[in-house]
Amino acid sequence: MIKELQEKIKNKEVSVLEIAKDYLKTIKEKDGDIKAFLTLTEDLALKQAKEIDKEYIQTGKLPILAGMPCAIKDNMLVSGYISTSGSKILENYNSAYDATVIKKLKASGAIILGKTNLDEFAMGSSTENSGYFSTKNPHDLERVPGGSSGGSAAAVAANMVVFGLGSDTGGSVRQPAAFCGVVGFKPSYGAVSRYGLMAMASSLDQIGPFAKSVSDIQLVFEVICGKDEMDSTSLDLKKYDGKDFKKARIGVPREYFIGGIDPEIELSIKAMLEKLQSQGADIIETSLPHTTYGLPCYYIIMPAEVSANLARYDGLRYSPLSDTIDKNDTLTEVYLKNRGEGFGKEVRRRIILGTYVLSAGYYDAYYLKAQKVRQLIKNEFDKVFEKVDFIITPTTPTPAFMFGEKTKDPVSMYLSDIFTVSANLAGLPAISLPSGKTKNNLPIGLQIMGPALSDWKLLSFAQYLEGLINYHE
Amino acid sequence: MSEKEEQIDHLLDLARMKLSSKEKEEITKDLSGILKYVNQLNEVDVVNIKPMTGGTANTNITKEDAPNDQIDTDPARLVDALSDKKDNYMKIPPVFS
Repeated sequence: MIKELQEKIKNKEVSVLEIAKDYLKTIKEKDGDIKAFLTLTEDLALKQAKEIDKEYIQTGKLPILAGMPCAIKDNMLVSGYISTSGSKILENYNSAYDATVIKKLKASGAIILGKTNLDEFAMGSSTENSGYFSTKNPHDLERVPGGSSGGSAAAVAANMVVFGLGSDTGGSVRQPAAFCGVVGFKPSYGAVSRYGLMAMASSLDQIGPFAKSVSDIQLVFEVICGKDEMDSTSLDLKKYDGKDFKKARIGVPREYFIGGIDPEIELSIKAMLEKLQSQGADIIETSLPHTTYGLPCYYIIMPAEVSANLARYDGLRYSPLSDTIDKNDTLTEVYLKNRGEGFGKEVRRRIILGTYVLSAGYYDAYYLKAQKVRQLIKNEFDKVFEKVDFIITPTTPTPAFMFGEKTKDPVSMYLSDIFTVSANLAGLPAISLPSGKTKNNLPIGLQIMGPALSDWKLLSFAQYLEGLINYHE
Repeated sequence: MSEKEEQIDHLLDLARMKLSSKEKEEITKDLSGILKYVNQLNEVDVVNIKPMTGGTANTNITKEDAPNDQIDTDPARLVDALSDKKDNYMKIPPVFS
């Protein structure tokens, strides 16, 4: 879509300002129902659009993402605009600076239309945990768009923007991409700078793009990836120049096709594997025995890091103070009240869990143990990747569920991420592609994982598979 | 007070969060359920496995010891949102009672 739109700009069929206005109009028409956006950055968008048009007329130059409207998850800073991370505790926080990815997007000519809704502090798999409101799945307004990056996924799915940015700590880009029928990519850990992304779990977080096609994902990734002085965990990736994937070796881990998975999803993935095989791919049944421990491992490590990262939010700065505070309260009392009230239920759960697993007497049994299991999981992937080029699995065990369906039991919500967390634990790149629909017309996502730092090779293969899926339909 | 209640109170104090008794009851129940789930890790044999200590194998990444001129935020913008302020300072309650 990006290439086609840019052709229109180059041929002067449409100006960037007209595109921006057109997409803003679509947002106003559709977002009343879908509620993907928390804030619209209309002034910024129009200003950017006018500048790009002017530059094009004067120099004939169009930067790589010129004129492409995008949506940014509200846990990434866009200078001058509120960033809430979906939480009431930040309802008045005016972003102090541009995140590195935002700086890069602006320099590439992308037009930022708004900040999107998310589960509070990126904690959730449905966007129901937002401190503000829930976002609806554009394919079925009674169902969740997934989470935590539900707003960005929905905005792309509903054609309110051409691409979006989300963040993925345990599946928060890939799962909503699967639920909303769009492409969602989680880069290898370190591929994209986290400077300006409000941290959730620092050893797991990665920023990732949503778009309608793999080629659009590739263009956005090209812009946002790269080593950044401001993020000491960031690194540069090697490009990939091979092309032919017909004889690719595809690992299919049996643990990802266990009972409990929706039969239509299983059929869809298996149909794609057969299609790959008919073109020459070697489909290899494989095993990742510790898959089942990925989610419990994640639910120790992530809350531990969350409890440290969220300690900074004192509720004194960017939100109204708790009204139970009286003038005799000490600073500690003020923190206790602000934080108890400013954070939502899920956030409080994870902070307490994290505090517990890091506390004296429990650290070895929980946190240290989990970091060892994490290493085991990574070792297992490394071993499998000696024999296969890519691993293919379903992205999620079920299609988009109904609002309220999983909010009563926290663990049932956590299980939505059972297939996505391992890639975060092991730092691997992973992408979700729409591979079909259920009988109820709900999107199905197919996940491809590659070895760490093989992002460009993975994206090329994803494009090849996308071609087969589109032809198949 | 039961041992469990004491434990939750201790954790809430460490995490600097105050909850109503109903919320405390709910979170105790939730924590029990989640811990039951994550205790699966007890089944895993991790003898001779070194723990992972971050997202990458990178170590000792440094940058130049020079002032950061990238942040050019006008303090007024941040001070504006504060509920209690004086000049460019945030006013807070006493640290000591």
